[in-house]
Amino acid sequence: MIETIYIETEVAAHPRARRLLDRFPTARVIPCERYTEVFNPAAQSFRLQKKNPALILARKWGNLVLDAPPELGIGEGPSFYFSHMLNCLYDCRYCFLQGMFRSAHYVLFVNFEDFETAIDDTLTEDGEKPSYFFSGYDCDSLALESLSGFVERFVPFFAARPRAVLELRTKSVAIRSLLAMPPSPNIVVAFSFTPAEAGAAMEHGAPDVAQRVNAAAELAAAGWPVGLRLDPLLWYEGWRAGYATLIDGLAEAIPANAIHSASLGPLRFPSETFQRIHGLYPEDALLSGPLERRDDHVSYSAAREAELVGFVKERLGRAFDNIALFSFTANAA
Amino acid sequence: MPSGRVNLVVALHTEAQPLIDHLGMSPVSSGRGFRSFVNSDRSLALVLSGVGRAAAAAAAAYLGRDDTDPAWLNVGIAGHRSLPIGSARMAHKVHCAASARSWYPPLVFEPPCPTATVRTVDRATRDFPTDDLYDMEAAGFYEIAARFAPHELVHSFKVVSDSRAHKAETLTTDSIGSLISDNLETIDALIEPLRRLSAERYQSHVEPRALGQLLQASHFTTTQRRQLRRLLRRWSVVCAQVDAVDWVASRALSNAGSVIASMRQHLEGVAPKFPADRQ
Repeated sequence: MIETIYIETEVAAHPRARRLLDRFPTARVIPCERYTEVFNPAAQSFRLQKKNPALILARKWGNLVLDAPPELGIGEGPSFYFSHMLNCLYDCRYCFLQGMFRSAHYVLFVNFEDFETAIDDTLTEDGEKPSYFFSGYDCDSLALESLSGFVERFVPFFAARPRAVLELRTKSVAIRSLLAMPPSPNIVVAFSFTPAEAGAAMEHGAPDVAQRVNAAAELAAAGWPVGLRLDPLLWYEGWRAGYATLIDGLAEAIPANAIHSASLGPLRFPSETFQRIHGLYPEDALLSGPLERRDDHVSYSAAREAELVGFVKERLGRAFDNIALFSFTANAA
Repeated sequence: MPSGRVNLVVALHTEAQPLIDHLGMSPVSSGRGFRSFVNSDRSLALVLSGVGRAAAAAAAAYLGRDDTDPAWLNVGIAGHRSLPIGSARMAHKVHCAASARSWYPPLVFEPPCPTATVRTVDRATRDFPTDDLYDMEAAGFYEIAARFAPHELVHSFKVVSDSRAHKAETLTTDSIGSLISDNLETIDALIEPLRRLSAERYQSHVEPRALGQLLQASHFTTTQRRQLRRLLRRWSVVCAQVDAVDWVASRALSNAGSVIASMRQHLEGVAPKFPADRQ
């Protein structure tokens, strides 16, 4: 439930902003000049703010489409990301957003039309090659769909541009709007998974893993390409059994021919980000566990990381024939 | 300070007296520069700032010198063009008319009263050009208090004392005191969550219990002390069932370097446990 909405005076008349204000008639509405006055000034506590985040309605100026970090790559063409939102409904303890932002408020950039123009410009610049676009880097692509209407707007947009591939990255089971649309071969709904016990301990507020598996299976049955994102890979007591159970469950629920790709991402944080997150949650078992500084990252030791990746890769290969598998390691960047 | 602490910054003695009485506060005898008060368990402190932005800022700095993790609350009267006298508001935005700066105190708990923008002016106004509350301290208070605590723990609470229909000139010492007295329940409801959040924040900074004992047992350099503190914090999370002092003693580790290396090696092998029954 949104109790507080900050709104840039400039977008007060934007139809998307108006709709949201109408939707929350009892919310306190606080005007601001730029969202950065509210979001991310020094001396805010992400942990305290996460107790009751507000919604910020803003306009995104410039840099609407950016080169994607290499770990997101799921194909041969160039990769880009764009963020119609900053921050996420869920509270996953390993999430880098809690170290990257000082604020836990949800920022929604209402100027979707400018994102569309920027995406078209990017496609033009990149000629005939297929280009990959990621929308779930700074937020969950589906979790706040009822609020943002992102899928409703961008799925038809990408469906009409077959040279572009859109990845919707999510832990949400809010798939109703997708199921109401015809599936599109260039739109991948990619679910993040960790083993059930790790998810329950780490992914506060997110739908449990079994629900996510069901949602992925439902979309696959409706013809949507599904992505499996085992990211981050977590080392904990019983991890082998945990990942084996997870992968077996996925293979049972989702036919191999519905899988667009799987990707693996070992746990890693930029060093400064890790210091901030650990400072916020010193009592957290994962963050207090055996992580080490490697170059400019904090991650598991190379040996432990290789063991995790090797095991999960092998299990995925065994569970799904000819799966397109991508993996990223901290020192591969 | 396990119960947390709230620092109150109040401009006038007439505004503060009902709070001092209600909260059972006594003067701090060593107070120099500003008159200040504390309650019996020192979980509440109050400083009388005097009128104006600079005075409120200086008073906040005066209380902020204590090395604790307090929350902050500015309590006072304010003007508004039309709200009924006695209306209480918590600031959701503090705007400084002189500098044109704004602050947005994040509302992480349910406010006990409606919220509003508080506009701080350097000269009292009678015409109230915007639909905001007008005061003379909140911006000065906020700017400095937010150097000592995250914004979520810095708030301003105002009671409407004058308006276009009820001029400030008619206010008396008694009437100002009554405006605060009549809102003590709301102020209590504001102090309580702030105290809780302050306690939560304080807990995350508490020194590990074993630190003092291990530091006494061997000589640690400054860097080693820092390393030991970090290791003990991790230890208390991932090896909570094993007493670190006993563990070090049982291995006959005689110097700082071996204590740090052994603890680090031990922690490296301990996998976090995620109980299956949490699924």
